[in-house]
Amino acid sequence: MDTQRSIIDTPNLNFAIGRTTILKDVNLEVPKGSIYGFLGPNGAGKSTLIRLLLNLYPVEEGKIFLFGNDVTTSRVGILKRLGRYVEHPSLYQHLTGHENLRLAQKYYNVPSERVGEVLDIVGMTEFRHRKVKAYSLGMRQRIAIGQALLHDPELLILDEPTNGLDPSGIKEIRELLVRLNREHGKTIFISSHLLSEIEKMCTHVGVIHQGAVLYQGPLEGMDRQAAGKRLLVKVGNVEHALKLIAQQGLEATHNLNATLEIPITENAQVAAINRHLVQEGIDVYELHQQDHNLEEVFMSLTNTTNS
Amino acid sequence: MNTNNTIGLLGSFRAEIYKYKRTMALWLVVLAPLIIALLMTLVYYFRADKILTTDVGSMGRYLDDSVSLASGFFYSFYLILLTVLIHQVEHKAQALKDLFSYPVSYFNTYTAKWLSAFAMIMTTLSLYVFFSVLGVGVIAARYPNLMSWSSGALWVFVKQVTLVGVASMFLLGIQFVVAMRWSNVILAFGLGIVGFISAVVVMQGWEHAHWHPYALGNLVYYALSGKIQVSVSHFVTYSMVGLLITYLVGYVMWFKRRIV
Repeated sequence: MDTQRSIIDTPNLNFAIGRTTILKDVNLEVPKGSIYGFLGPNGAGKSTLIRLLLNLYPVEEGKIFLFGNDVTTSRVGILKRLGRYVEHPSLYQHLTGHENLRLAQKYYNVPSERVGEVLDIVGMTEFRHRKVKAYSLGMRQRIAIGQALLHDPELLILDEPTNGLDPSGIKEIRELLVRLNREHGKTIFISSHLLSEIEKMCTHVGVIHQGAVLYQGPLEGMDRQAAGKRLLVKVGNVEHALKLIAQQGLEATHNLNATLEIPITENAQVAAINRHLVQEGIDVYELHQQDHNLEEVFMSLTNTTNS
Repeated sequence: MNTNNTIGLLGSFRAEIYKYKRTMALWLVVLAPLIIALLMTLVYYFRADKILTTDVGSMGRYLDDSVSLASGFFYSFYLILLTVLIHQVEHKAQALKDLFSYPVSYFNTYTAKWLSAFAMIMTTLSLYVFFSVLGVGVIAARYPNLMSWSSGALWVFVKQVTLVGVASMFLLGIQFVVAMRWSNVILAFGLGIVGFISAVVVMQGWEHAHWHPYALGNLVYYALSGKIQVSVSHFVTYSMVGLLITYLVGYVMWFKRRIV
């Protein structure tokens, strides 16, 4: 029985191809039972890290532990316990969806009945006898995710599984993953550059940029680490209000709807700003506290690194 | 080899065979021997009365003509084409990253590919013997006075086919590794054609032609027929050593491969 809390652990992981450094001192810790979103722009090192986790690239510096075991010495044992989807569906086009799963079933050495169960889980039973070359991208992705589920793994490692899908396809995959996490208890490690998707389904987030992890932890902790919240205030006299806000040491901006946008760090500031404006004779029509969305936090994190 | 390894190897082998369903590779396994046997049957069907004068040794002559045709040209090209088709199934699906992340050792996934190639070749050679014997039956029905059954001729034929198969293993090894490592079809075909043409050239009289990997299948047939004075065991030993070396070189490539 595993007692470790992190299902994936990469202490001091570094990786380079030739002279180009791809990963810099990456210390990933993925909690068991989480949906961990691994965010980063294209070229940040997400796919390289996933290939390292699957031992498709050799570990050169640092360590990778999955389920508490070193990936370089326990490769086969680790792969028995995880399912993977790497970048795009690699299916045999001349075979049907059912046959592709039958083929994977032989590698995983699981009973053939499992193929039917997996087809049900990914919602492809109806289309199972069509050749893969006649499938849409979304159908291929579902079969490829089905392959990853065949041996009922504890961990799913998915590299951009919604890439190239239309909004309804993205929603279907998202719902499938959330169901797998909640109903089947799978830990899911998912890389993506679609911030909104990560925000909708993940419990934990890791942000990678230029090979370095800038943040990792619970989703709700990310905004606190990065940029805090903001207060939207609709007022009568914008110019005067801006001066009053500046007197309080805050920097406000405003839009055409006479709404001020003020970055804040704690709730007490809301009351203080409101009180000050009212006392100085400013009409306050609306006060609205808004969290930064993940996209803004992500941009803030990555821009900080760039500058 | 422990039980887990054996199960892994068996599973990989079964998966390898399964993935060739409805592919050109599988069609080639059946069609290649059928075409050769059919060609021979057609030639004898229409011209046996001009080729044969008596039924004595006629089956041996028929089968010898067949194996001469097959070993000289067709079998080399069959191996070149088969290795390309086997590996193209993987290259086209870009499935190496999946193959390398199944819970199976590198040794098993690699060896299963070789075993599937051997299984296909053995099937082809067995079908070739079967279709040739059927051809003998067809000719015997058409020319009952000129074709008669001979178990001795059949055993000589089986021995010829087996030795041509074994002696071509070095060629198979080279083509297998090249087609596995590089997805470019032209490269594997190009090398095969260059190897084949150079073998034809050296066989015209070069005394060391029996060291050319692409000439072995053809020359072992000559050695069996007594047309050249090189021991048959040379072809078997040399080809098997070549096969072993290419197998090991291929394994190092497989093991060291970075899956992009």
